[in-house]
Amino acid sequence: MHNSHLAPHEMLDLHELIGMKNVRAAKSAAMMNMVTDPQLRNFLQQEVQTATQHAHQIQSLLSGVTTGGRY
Amino acid sequence: MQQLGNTNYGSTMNTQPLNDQLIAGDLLSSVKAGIKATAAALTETATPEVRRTLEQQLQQGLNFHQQLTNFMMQKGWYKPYDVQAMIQGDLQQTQQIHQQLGESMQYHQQFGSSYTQPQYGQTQYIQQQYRQ
Repeated sequence: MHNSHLAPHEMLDLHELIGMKNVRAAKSAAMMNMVTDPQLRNFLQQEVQTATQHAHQIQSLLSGVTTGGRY
Repeated sequence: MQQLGNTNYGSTMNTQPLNDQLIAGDLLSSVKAGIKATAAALTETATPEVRRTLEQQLQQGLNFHQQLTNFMMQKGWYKPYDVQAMIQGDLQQTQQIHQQLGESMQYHQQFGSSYTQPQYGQTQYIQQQYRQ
C-alpha cells in the first residue's frame, strides 16, 4: 500500500469516488428511517456498509498524498 | 384522461412524499452512477493497487445492482420487459408527485410564512435593542 505513488489524474478520480461514497453512506443511513419495507431497509443497510467500506479503502489509497506521497 | 388503475405499477404508493418506491429508485440510480464512475476511473488507472481496489468495488456494485433490480422487479416497481406499463407508471408517478408537491408548496406559502414571520420580526427587534 505505502509504495503506491498515485498519478495526479488518479487522485482526481479517487477524490470524486470518495465523495460519492460518503454521500451515499450518509444518505442511505438517513433513508433507513423513512422506509416501511424491511427488505428495502436491508438494502439500504447493505449500501451504508458497502459505501463505508469503499470510502475507507479509497481513504487508505489517498492517505499517502497529504503527507507527501513518496513512500 | 387515461385510466391508470389497471396496472399495479406503483400500487404500494402511499401519501408520503418520499415513499419506498421512490427511495428504491433513488438507491438504484445511485448504484448505477457509482458503477459508471468506478468503471470510468478504472480506465484511467495506472497504479496496480488502485486498479485492484476499484475492480473489487466495481464487482460489488454490479452484484448489488443485480440484487436490487431483482427486488424492484418482484415489487413491481421496475418492469424492464413491459415498457408500456413502465411508461404508464412513470406518468402516474409524475402526476402524483407533482400534485403532492404543489399542495405542499401551497401550504408552505400560506402557513409557512405566517409562522416564520413573527420570529424574524422578533429577531429584528432584539437586534434593535442590542444596537441601543
